[in-house]
Amino acid sequence: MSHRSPYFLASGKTTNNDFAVHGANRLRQNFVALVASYLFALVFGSNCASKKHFSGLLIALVFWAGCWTANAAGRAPRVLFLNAFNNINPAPTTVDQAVRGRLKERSPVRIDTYTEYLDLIRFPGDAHELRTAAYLAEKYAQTPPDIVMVFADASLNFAIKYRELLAPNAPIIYSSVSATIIATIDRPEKIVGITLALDYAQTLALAERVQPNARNLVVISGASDSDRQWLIAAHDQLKPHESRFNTRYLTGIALEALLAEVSHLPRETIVIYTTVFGDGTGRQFVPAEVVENLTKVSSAPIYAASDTYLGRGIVGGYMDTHESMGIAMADMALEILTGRDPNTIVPHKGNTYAFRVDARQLKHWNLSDANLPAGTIVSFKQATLWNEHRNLILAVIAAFGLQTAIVTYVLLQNRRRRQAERSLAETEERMAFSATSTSTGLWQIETKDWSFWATDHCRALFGFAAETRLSLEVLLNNIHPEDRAAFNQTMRSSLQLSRPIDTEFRVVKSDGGIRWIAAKGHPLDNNNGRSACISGIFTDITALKMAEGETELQRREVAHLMRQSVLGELSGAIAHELNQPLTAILANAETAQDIIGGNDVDMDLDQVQDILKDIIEDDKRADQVIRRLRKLLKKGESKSEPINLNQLIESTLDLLHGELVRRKINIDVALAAELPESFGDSVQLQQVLLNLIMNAIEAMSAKAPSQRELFITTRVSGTKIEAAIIDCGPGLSSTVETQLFQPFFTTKKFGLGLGLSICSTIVKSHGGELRIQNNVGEGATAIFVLPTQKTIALA
Amino acid sequence: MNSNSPFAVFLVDDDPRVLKALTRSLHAKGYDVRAFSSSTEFLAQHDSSIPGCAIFDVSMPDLDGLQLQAALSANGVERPVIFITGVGDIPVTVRAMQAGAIDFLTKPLNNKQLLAAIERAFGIEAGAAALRRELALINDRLSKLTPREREVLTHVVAGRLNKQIAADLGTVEKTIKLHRSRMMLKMGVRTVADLVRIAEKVNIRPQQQDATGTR
Repeated sequence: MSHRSPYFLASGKTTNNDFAVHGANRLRQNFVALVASYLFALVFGSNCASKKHFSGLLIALVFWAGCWTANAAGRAPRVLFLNAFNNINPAPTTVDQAVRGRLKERSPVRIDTYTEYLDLIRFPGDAHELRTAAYLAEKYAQTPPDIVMVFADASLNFAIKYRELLAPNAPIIYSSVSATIIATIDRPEKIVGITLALDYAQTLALAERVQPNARNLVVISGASDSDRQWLIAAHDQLKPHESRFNTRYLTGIALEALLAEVSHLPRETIVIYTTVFGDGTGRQFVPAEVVENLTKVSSAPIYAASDTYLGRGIVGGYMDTHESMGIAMADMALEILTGRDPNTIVPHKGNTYAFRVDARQLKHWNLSDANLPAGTIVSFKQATLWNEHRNLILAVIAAFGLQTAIVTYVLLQNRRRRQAERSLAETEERMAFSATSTSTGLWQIETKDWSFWATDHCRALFGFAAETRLSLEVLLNNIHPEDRAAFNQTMRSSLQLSRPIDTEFRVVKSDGGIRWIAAKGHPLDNNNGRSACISGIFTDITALKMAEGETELQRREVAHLMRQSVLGELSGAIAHELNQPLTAILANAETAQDIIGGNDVDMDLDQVQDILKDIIEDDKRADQVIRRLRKLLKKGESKSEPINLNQLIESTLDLLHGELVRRKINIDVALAAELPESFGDSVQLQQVLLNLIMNAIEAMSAKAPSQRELFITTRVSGTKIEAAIIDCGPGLSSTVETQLFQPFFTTKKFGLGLGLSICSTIVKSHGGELRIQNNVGEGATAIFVLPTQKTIALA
Repeated sequence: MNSNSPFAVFLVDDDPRVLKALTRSLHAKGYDVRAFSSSTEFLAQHDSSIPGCAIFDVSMPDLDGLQLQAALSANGVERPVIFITGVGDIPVTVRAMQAGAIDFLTKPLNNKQLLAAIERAFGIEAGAAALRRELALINDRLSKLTPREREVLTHVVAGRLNKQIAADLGTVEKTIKLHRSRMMLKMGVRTVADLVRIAEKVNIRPQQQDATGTR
């Protein structure tokens, strides 16, 4: 009982049943799980998995039915692992760890494991062996192992040699021992295990597959006893293939020489590494470390038949793994522990041999993996980050993307907000600036109490002090009396009809100055659809109005000057017009005088009556000429009076009579019988006619007098009336036609170029149109369209 | 005043009221006034054989006053012309005077000026009529000369003696003497001086001396 394990102490019971029941319960659960996974494996595939689980199933079944050999002792079974080397040798350590892991995994009860490092290679000789054996015997005297495991032939030899001393009855489970050595064992009782079959032939086959052009074969081996067996194995296996190569065995030489040799190998060489436990100088090494050094300097790829070297620079080989060796050993131990007679267990070489390669080395040597034998296990595949961490990468990307999106969104929102704030501030600033700079004041009138709100600038427009309380009444009082009623009416009808306001009015400031204000506004509806207030802008348009007035004044001035100029040109003709009646009057008056004076005259007194009548008529005629001239010469406001275009033409022709005669113009006039009246300023319109007729006369000056035909006609055209002045001059050239109405454009030597420009302005201001076009035949026609009075009234 | 004057006044003005007033005024002064309201009417209707003067308005349609004067002259009618105009236009005045106008009067017309112009025109017209009559007589007489007599005339007005003329014409002095006396008789002159004066009036050039004869 003193050797009871803590497990049983804890349970407080020592009966077999307890363990059995407990173990059975646990195994039952495991069984269900295992059956399930077995079925799963059967259905879905993986051979390997099914085998693994199949063996698991067997073990479970064994446990189910069986009993523990150790149970008799009533303590945890003990497994001692004898490592022939030390803890720096990777292969035995891997096996040891695999054994322990497997045991822990598969055993329902705790199994105590022990590892001893015999370090037989570094300390060769019987003295060390004996000392070690004695030590271990004493060490494990109270805790004899139930099973002894050994790795490599050195430790198997040790275990057999000192079996009586250490654990006389414990079965020995070996690994990494060649079948040849096993065959030499004298008493193989209770000695089972996994034989090591380093397959150099298959390793070469692999090498040939990946290096099809290789013509050299180099086999590397150490010089120690341990090395020799593998050298022999390699030699035996490779001999049949050596004929294909230029083969060299690098064995028994100093490590330095070996390193130098491999560093000068041709690239197309297959190097097979067996083991180097010791070199030609007797120095001892860890073979895995040696291969690491060799692969570093080698100028050709190196292959090996042990997985210990995989990952240490070799390309690969045909090999078992030490891990699977350990698992197989553990499984054997479990069988034995559950009562199997070790002698019935057949040693085997393991069933996980395979071609194994190091993907990194394939790549390093630029060897194609296309020729690898089927089922080759490729280790150290440099799985791309994507392959290995696909989900993680996706998750990271997604998270990053999301974060970026959120950050971007937040930044954008922030920017938008700032922009909005900025643009709002800018808008306000701009509005204030533009309102001030355009002399615009903002205002609002509340309809409920007619209170009036206005910006400072708006107040300034009206001359209101800052503290004045404003209302519609105050506002109206400041509006020019003539505009006041109209403005009030506009406001109220805007409210009633919900119409925008667009009006102009004058403001009388306190200093008596008058300012013109343009008002624009619109009523704002409240909820029940009635206008609650009107808001809008007042703009000071005084300057504009003054400019307009000035422009009008200047226009009138120019028009007047033009009339003067035309009349100046006509002065001869006009003097003639005036002199004609004067001549008649004078002649008549003198005749009458003679008659009355009785100065030897043949005429009767009663003729005087006729003479006086003629005098009066001629006087009237002279008076008319003078009136016409005065009218044209007068500078006056534009008038708006009914215009009879026919009369206007006749009067103009009367005025021009002298000129027409002087210039030998044959004039033909055809005036429409019932021409509606137009409306406008007769002086201005006569000026237009004068100009057009004078132009026509001028145009014909180059023609023979008998061919100077001027035709003037009027007609009704829809709602308009038209006068056409048709000459038979040379007409207009195309360049002239486009510039005709432009100011200062002239074809005359001494012309100002203002006549037609002014005419056009005048006609347009009458709502009419003036155009000059070439006739189909010769000459040009000036057409002068005026709306009838009715039309204007409607407009 | 001159109701018995042989001269008429031909008045042309396109302004009917002016035409009427002036016609009446001149008529009251006793002139024989022939009024025409246009150039074309005047050219078509006026009797060029009636002596008198013309008063033309300068500014008229169709033919103006100056053109009318030219047209008249082109027709071989020499008649003193007075121009009247509504406007004193210097270039027109100069042209009119160069064309032989009696006067150039500006409307409204000064009555005295107009009457003076008419009288002057009549004076000229009277002189011209006498001259015309004399020339007509001379030409009539010339037309009655034989070619030989006319030949002798040109030699006589050149101041040559009968003997010289006979030598030039290749005849005897006696024959020349006979031709000469008949010629003088037909021409109605008694002295060579008279003959020379008449010949000048009708532009008969004296016969140039023959080269052989003078030696």
